[in-house]
Amino acid sequence: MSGRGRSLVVDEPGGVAAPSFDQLYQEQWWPMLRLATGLVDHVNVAEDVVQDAFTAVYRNWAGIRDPRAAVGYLRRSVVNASRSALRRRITARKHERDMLEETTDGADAATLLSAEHELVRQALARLPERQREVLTLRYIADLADAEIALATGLSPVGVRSASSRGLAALRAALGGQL
Amino acid sequence: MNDFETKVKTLLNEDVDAQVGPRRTPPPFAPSPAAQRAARRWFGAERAPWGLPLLAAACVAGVAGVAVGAAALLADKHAAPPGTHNSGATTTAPQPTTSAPDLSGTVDLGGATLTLPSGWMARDYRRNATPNAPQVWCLTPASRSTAPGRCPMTFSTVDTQHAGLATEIEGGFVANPEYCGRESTGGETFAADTRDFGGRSAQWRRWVITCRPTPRTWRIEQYVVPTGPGFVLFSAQATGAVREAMTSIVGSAQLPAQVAPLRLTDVGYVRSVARRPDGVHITLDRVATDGGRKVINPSTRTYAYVVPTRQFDNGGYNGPLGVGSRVYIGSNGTRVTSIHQV
Repeated sequence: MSGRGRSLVVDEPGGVAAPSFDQLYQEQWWPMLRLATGLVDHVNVAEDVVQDAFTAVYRNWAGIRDPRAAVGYLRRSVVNASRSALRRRITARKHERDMLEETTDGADAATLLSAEHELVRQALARLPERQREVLTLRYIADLADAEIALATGLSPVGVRSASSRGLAALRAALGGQL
Repeated sequence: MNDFETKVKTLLNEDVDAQVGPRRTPPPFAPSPAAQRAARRWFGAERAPWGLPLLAAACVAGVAGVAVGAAALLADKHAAPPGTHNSGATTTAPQPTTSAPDLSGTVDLGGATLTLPSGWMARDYRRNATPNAPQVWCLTPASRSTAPGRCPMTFSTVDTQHAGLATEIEGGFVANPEYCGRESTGGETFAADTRDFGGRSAQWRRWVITCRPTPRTWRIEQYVVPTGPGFVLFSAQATGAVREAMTSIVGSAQLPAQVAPLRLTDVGYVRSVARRPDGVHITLDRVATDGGRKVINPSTRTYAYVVPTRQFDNGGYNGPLGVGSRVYIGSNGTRVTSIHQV
């Protein structure tokens, strides 16, 4: 499901549309969780990211005037919070390396994904941040270039560039293994 | 989309679906209690060894909600398997309270004394009246609707336990509104200044954002008092009467005195670094920046901070921090709690 929930818009007298925060939360939590999971590659972290994003929207709700902007606003918050989550994960890992042995996946991890899934996931994780975000927004959230540009802060040209470079890098990394 | 892209898309979606499981209803949305838990954990004795770096990132990522996230990680709140969230949850939203009356004239909002222009009122948007809940008031002409999304100006309080204050982001908190929705931004201007707001130093920012193809322009103006207790006065419709009202309110306001020496948030370039036993002493060349696209640096004055060594060493994400790094600094008013490259 993409983030284009038409039912977010409630008709009001005079034809003016206004979203409800409750509706936004109820309808967009799941697609945003999927998007965030694609961005941070960990569902528990993604849940926190999505909560962060909704909190950000909540905090600024009184200032959101254009109902069409609410989902885009939220999506951008998800992207921003995901970036931050990944960075703090990097930071936390630095500390973990200092103090603990490297953690390993659970015993059931191998049963959850096939080798192909793992290949793509790892190849995507190795891409530069912007390329990874653009491809995730395109393939997980089904967004067009203009919407990806809004979510990432890139220009549409930048989105196309990141997309083509990211795909080329994926091709090179996967080397015909798919 | 060619075969390769289709294959990648399919695999990525299957991967995500495997992680998130069957579709489920969202958990209750209640930022304030979680934020309080986060604050207790981060500032209290239970803090994990990586808690402070997490806090550093949290302050960048913003709002109290980020604290929710990291605290949740630390608290292992995800012990319950997917699908066990309360499906009957209700959400809270910043709507006018039914108990708080609308205020007019000279009003006390979170300790700040504001004199509203004639015909204007303040309406409390706070719903969850816990002691640390964010306080937001809509300041508006009495004749105007205050339905969500209609409020011409908001006034918010900020305490030191709520991360996410951001002088450089529209709204004053980390959450960048999409003023043009799905349209593209045709032009954007940015201005910055330091101004007096009720006896306190405030960061004033103005953005003018033009959307296209629809010829629509957002005129955003905000005053952020970045020291504790913090305040944010914000409008995305800062034209005509609204702007006049904003100027009037700022000019006549009386804010409570600053209670702690450090700014809750700061942004600038590191100009010197000295490692000492009590931490890394840096000087910060403060700037105003529009998301990094435009940097305004009107002064060469620097500001001293002492950063915990571990945080400084882990504050960079493209390499170690050093002289020349542009950083975000967060504090609780008395000590630096986060530093992060931006």
